[in-house]
Amino acid sequence: MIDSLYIGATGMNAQQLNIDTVANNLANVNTTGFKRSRISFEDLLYRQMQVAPSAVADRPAMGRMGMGTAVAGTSKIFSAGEIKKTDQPLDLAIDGQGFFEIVMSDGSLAYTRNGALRLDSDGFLATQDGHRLSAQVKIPPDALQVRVDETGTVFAKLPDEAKEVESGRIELATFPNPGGLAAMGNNLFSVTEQSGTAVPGTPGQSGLGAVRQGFLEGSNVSLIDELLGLVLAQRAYELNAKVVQASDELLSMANNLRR
Amino acid sequence: MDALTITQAGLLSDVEQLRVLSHNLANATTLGFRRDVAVARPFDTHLDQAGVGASLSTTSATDIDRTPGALRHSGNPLDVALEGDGYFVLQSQAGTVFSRQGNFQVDSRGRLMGASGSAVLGASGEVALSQAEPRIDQAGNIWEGDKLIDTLRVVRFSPDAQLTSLGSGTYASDAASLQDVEMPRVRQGYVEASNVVPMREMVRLIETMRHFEAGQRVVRSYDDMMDRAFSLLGEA
Repeated sequence: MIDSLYIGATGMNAQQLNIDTVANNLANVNTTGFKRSRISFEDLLYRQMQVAPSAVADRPAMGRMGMGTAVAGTSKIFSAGEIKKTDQPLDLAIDGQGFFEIVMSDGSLAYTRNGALRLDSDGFLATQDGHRLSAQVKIPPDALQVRVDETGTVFAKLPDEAKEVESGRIELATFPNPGGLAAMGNNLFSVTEQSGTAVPGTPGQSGLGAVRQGFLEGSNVSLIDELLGLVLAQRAYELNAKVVQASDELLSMANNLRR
Repeated sequence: MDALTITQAGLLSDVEQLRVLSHNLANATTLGFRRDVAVARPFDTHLDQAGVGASLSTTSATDIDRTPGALRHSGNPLDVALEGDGYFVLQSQAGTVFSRQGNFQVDSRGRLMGASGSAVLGASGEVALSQAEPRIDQAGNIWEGDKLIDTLRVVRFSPDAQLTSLGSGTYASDAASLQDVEMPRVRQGYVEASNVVPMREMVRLIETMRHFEAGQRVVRSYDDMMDRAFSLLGEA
């Protein structure tokens, strides 16, 4: 049938995915350490038009026709979220680049920016879901106080000792292309071919962010931007729907050429 | 050449016009998109063809509207937009291509990539970054701290150069009309919106639909006329 019908549909599809992305961002506006996704579009394959045999001489016989739009991909935007004070000793925020490295239950590694930690039953630092930090930091059970400095070193204050004891060191990981990390849900990311391999490092050094104890990183979703995106996506969807409608009318008129 | 064939050519060119409009509207939110313009043939060429009895061709050419789109702030360090004339140079599988779409990414090897996976070219070939947040100044120089990594290559074409859309926001052109822009105006943290103005496309859409409708009426009237002619001839 006619191309414009399908082209309108590609536009509706793309805007549908756009709204899905905006919806997910909006839903996570209060998720600690959440990074917003962004969708990018590209114009779709051009096919060569058949060139008229007796083409007009003064114009080169060119003609490639566009066939609509498609989603080029979604990528995570790793800009910093707002760092909020919580005063919880096991809340850690990364002030700059880097990820906490976490061991999943199957032994594989995952990465997160969510530093709301707790102790698991064996006294190891772990995420809220109970996955330990890969650094395996163990806090003695009788510790009165835990202190984490900017370089990620964890100290525990024990009742019968005047000085703090070092209990471990949290390392951060960076990636050549953080945007290529795969989001696994639960605020966790896994390594992909696009992201490159993790580069471990000490917090606060060589471009890595410092660890801030007693703070959490908020979501980097901006309500205003997302709502604007939603309005735009909705209207763009409507436009494409109008095109489909117009193509339909045109086809109907063509069918009614003969009464 | 009879009236029916000529009207048919008009109807088909409306379908083509609708295709161009729908492509533009589908890409109203595609960054760096340049709208297609259907170039209609002057009527006398149709008439000439009609006169000599050649078959009427209905495929009209499309051209690219090179008006820049508006720059919008995104705050993302890998978003780069060009103010005024110029194109980024990318290396795709098809060879060297040109693009206005500046929402770049970094790949696993630290190379700067376009949104659809073609490497962005700097003054000395592919741009290799060691981190994903470089600073890019107005002249297109890419800095990591105080270290100059590379300079984005920005080119422009002479106004009469033929640009061919390749999809994915990229264009090809003949190399002869290519020249490097000496002083590009590169804006980091901005993206260029599509240059499609939905209102203009919608007005054209209404116009196209009405034109098609008019063509349909002509065909019907012609059909009526023939009908009457036959019945009159039958009576005689």
